[in-house]
Amino acid sequence: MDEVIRQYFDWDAARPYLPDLARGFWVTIQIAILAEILCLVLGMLLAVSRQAGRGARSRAGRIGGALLRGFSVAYINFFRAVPALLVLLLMAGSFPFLPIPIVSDLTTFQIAFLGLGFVYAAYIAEVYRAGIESVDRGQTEAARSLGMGGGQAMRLIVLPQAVRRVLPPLMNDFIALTKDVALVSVLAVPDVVSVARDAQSITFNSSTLVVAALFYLAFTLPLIWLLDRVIAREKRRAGRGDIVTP
Amino acid sequence: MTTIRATGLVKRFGDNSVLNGVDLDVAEGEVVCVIGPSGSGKSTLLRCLNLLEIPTSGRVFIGDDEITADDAPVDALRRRVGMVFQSFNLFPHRTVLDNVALAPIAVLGVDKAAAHDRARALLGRVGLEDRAGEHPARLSGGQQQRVAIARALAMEPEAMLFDEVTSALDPELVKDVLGVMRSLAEGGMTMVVVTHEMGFAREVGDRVVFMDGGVIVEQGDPAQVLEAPRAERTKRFLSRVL
Repeated sequence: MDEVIRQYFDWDAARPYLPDLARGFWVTIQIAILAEILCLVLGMLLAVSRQAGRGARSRAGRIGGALLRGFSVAYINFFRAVPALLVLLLMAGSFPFLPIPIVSDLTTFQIAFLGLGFVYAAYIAEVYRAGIESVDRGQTEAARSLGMGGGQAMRLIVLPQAVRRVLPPLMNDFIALTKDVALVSVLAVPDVVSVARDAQSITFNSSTLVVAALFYLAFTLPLIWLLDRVIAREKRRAGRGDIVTP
Repeated sequence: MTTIRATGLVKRFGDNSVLNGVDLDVAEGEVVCVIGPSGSGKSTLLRCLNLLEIPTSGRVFIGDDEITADDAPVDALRRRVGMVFQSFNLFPHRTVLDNVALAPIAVLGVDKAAAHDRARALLGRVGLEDRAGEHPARLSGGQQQRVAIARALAMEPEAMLFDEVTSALDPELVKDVLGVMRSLAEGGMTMVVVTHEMGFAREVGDRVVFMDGGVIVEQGDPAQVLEAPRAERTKRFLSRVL
């Protein structure tokens, strides 16, 4: 029994690696936040592109809209269908050898957050889309009847309502993204999982991986708690309580 | 002087033909009330006038400018015609004051302070100055609809379109909204009013248009159309609603 416990909770085996693990987790958080910013922005562009040119009257508007829509649908479907791990391996394995100045100079750290950001942008775009489509058509009609252009109506009227509605699923995806940062350990990026695994392969003891899990819990549990609070607040704002069973 | 003119309007949704050739001239300062059974194409006609629906064929002019022209500056022309909807469509994420001031600021580039002053004045005109800081969800239906009227007026339109604006309201709230519309009409506003309020049509309308099956069946002086209709279809409709 002792041996079982020691395999996972051997403080003495983990202690020498604590500074490395902390540095590793800092790398994890940086990648998570940079990828999150990237996917929020890119996802928004994709979601708005996906609505582009609907009801455009000019020929140029219709063709341009169809091209934008086609591109964003292709992007979203590709990155939802292909494993994130494969995307990361593909980018990290090929970029250094491409004869393209900026791309070949990317560090594995940069490739890590770019790759995750690209993949998650596809999911985020779908979350935004659900929000955009949930806003009543009358909102756009009212905005347009006041003389706003399509872009203005989207920016001032539709998106603020859409984003507020999808805040919970957006936070959910941020939590999922943070956990998926563990994937970058295969690219030799010194994230917390990579550090913990290297230590484990030396000590044959899993306590460093347990410490990595604790780091994750310390970061994601408050996010989950915050998410629950946001959902509860939305519920209150909508004026709907739970259904009471007598 | 014509403010809004529609000629030969046809609107089809797939196989469903909603407008079958409608001509309508609205003179400056005129109040035209459009009545008719549901599904007669009243609302579609109204929505074609500011191009919320694109007519299958036919032309619409705002003043001298054709909004249905291929290269028409649609956004700029829409500003000249205000619209009020059955379902209010206030912006729920903005305060009442912002609802009224937003379009002047965003579309016309009016200075924020000036737009807010004007929005307060308009809210005063519809009797809601004290609710300026609240969100629309806190207002009753009648109050929301009066804010929607103020919002449309903030763009200083040449004409106003009203799409069954009292149909979603509790009966006791209808009066306030109609009162605001009446005072607008008395102020000389050009109005096209799709309505089921026959009393309003009779008292405030300069002309009543009766639609059925996507065409104008009969139109004329309210007293004549409502009390001595010529067409059989008008008689049948009026006998059911009056």
